[in-house]
Amino acid sequence: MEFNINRFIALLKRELMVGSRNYLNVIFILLILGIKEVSSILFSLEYNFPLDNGDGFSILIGILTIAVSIQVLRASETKMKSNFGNSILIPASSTEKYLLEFIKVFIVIPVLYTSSIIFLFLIRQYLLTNLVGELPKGFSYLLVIKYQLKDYISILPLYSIVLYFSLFKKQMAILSVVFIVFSVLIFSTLDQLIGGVIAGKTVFNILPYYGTQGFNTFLIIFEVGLFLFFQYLSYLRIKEREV
Amino acid sequence: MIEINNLKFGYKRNKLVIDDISLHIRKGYIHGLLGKNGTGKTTLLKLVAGLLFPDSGEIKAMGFEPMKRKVGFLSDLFFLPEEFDVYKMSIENYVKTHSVFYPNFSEEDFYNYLEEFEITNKKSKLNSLSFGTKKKVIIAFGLATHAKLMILDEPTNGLDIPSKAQFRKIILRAMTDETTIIISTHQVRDLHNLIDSILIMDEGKILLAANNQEITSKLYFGIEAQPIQTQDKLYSEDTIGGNVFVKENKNFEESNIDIELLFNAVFQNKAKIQSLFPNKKGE
Repeated sequence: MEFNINRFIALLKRELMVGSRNYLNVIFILLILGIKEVSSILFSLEYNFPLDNGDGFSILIGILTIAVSIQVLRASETKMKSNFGNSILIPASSTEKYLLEFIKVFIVIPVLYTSSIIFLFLIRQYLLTNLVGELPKGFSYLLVIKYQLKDYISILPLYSIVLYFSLFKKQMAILSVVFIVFSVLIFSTLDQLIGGVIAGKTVFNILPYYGTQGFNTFLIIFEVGLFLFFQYLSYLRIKEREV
Repeated sequence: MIEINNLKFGYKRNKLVIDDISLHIRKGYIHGLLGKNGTGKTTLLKLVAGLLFPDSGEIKAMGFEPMKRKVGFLSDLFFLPEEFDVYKMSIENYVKTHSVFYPNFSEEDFYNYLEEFEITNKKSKLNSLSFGTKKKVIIAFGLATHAKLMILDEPTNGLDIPSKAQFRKIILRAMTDETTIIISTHQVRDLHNLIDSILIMDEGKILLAANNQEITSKLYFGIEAQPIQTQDKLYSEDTIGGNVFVKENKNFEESNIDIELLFNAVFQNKAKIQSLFPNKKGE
């Protein structure tokens, strides 16, 4: 494995320069999709309803958000086959290129998503209070971050699968998103079934230590294993991509 | 520089685009890769650049296997695709963000090449330039990387007539003993007086691989007022200036290669050419 920190920093700089517009587009998309999340948090606080995003629909929304964001971040590459070729031929190692993808997908997108939600709450708090009233009691920005972190951990193994499948389709962003979501849903169903067999009943949470299922060591090992396995496959995919 | 042995590749399982090619491409030469549309030129170039992986056979370029995409290989390779898009950034920023990956990049050379191409505003946005100008910027960048292997796929497409002449001039200036340039084109006239070695492809195979000296030692390119009548003639055509022809050079006469005539002669006399140039490895 070749890794050079200076080259990696250069790769990050290039990513920011080349994809600045894509990042702005992602922020816009996340702001739109974040409205649903803001509503859920407000609803749960208002009516003292447990906020558990481990159900299938929330997973689907989460996966869709990630899949769309990844594809938008790749817009410069997918726009033309030659740009995709250029990014393959950038003189950096596969490890560095994989780490770049990892940072984009597992750090940048969640941070942007959480920031978008906080931004929406700020708008709600400072610009819309006169129209829709005060924020519910018990609300805090720390709570929002906590919720997001919980959701993030819960879908992490599926997140890993999203990254892997997103590396297949080079063009047709919409088709890619459908392809990713479909693949992830198959895996998530299998995952839930395995969880159900192991835990004795249906498991809606991807990481069963949060939510209603309690803690199950075997499932955690399984989920972490699933995450790492698809990370390794993603690395191989980046290494062996062809135009 | 590049060693290709029994290379096979197909986009579909039952149809080979590259059909058992073996080639030796020497360093310090400008190689012209010629062929009709769809004969596998671009595919061969992509295989050499490591953008595609062979189905069987092997490729070694600069001592590396291209498909492994080692940094040492990539930083000594410049690949100009036939069609490309540019990023939304200024020429200046493009250079800043991309040159760092090429240890031998010379900013001075880059701006000299741009000047030669008559591009003076380095603050111009790449995406706002015409296709030809974008191409000139990318070519200037590629040459300034001083990469040991430069692969240019249809580099003159989209360039106007003066730019084609500038292109030839700049390529010759950038050439060193350590550099190997492969230029693929079907516009053979654009390569006039530029290439040292010719590779002609047809249906995934190499029909001819030879350097200029070897070609002129075996073929004679001439022009006569009237069509010549000889059994040695491989190809001829009438032009305004007279009848141009290619014939076997049995008398060891000196002549200059006319790439277009050679190309047509090769396609009309495949068997004969193969008997004249049996060593397709081009050594």
